[in-house]
Amino acid sequence: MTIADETLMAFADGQLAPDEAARIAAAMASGPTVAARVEQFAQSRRALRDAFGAPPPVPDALTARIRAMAEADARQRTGDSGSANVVNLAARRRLVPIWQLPIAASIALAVGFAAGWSGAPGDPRGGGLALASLDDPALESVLATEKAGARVRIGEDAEVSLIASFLGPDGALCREFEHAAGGKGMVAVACHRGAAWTVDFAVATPAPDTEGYVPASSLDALDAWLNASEAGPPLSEAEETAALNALR
Amino acid sequence: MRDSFNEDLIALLPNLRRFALSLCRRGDLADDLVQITAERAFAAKDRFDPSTRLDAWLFRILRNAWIDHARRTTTQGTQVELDDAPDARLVDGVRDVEAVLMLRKTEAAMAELPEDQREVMMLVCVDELTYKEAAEVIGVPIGTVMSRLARARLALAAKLGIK
Repeated sequence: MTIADETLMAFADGQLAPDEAARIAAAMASGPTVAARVEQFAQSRRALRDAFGAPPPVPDALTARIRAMAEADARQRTGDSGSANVVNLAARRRLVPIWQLPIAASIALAVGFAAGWSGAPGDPRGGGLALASLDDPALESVLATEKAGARVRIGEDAEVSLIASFLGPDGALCREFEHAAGGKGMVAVACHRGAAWTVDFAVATPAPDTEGYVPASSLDALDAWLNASEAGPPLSEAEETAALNALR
Repeated sequence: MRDSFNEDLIALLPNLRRFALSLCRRGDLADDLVQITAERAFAAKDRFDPSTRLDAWLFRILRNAWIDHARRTTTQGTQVELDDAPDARLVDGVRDVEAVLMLRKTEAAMAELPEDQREVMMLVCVDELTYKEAAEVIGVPIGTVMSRLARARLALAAKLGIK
């Protein structure tokens, strides 16, 4: 009876339980075939280890950026940042690197609240958000149909990127998206209640740093809001499709 | 008592970048993936169990970031370049010609493997994760890791003429 490849491989890798390993060792003694097969696994692993060995050094700029991140994180945890609330950034929020965002200059977006909040979570007023295209049927159509990951042009120069969908604590379908128009950019969350979309949250996105990254800190407000609002986790593709279909 | 999370993470950047390169085969994208991974790792630091391997935890975050990216770029029709000669200089100070040839052949053979096989090869044979740790990074049963790994190693052995 032939021994399975996976078993011999596990033996070669030292991943077999002792009694099974002893059985294989005994089988190796019975003839050259088993030993040869084990050796194939051992050699392929060795070849890989020799080919890759120690990883090459990382570009200095990248290391420097991550060191800076580590320092900022350490400061924030010990409260040196001076902010009143130490916010636990939700890992569920996807941070967006520059290849996903239109490159925008520094912008000011009138959102009605100094901190960029547009109101309490679930607040149907939308907090006086001066999002010019709130009544834009094109934007509403995009929110109602496009899947997360889509990027759609609307109007003459506006672009909307769908980031993630989730359920609000009231069960409403909420969609996180980015909106860029006329050189201004924002990250926002709109939720569908009754028959309408309201923008529950929005924040202007500042200019990315020279390396092309929107700093993580610029999305602190969004993460804090997501935490505070008890937003659900991002919906899977299937869940999102079902939720969008249910809107019709 | 100081926790060494930050230093450990920075020490692992080369390993992270190597894993990222094996997934996406592009230096600039690998750097972005490493950066995103670090951001998320700091954010999720409180959820890391220090009795487990930090590199395995980080690989999982990186892999998820890679999947996010792949999902978001397919609609834009972005093609990932297949770079058969990764940025990494794999050979340092190797004089023996035969050994150099073997290394080149190994690189080439790895590049020919399907992505899911290449991935388990990197995690288990290069980063030396156990089958169980690799399974947790990828989110598949151990049996799947083992069968992909066995197939990959036999394919590699065949290409390298290991009998």
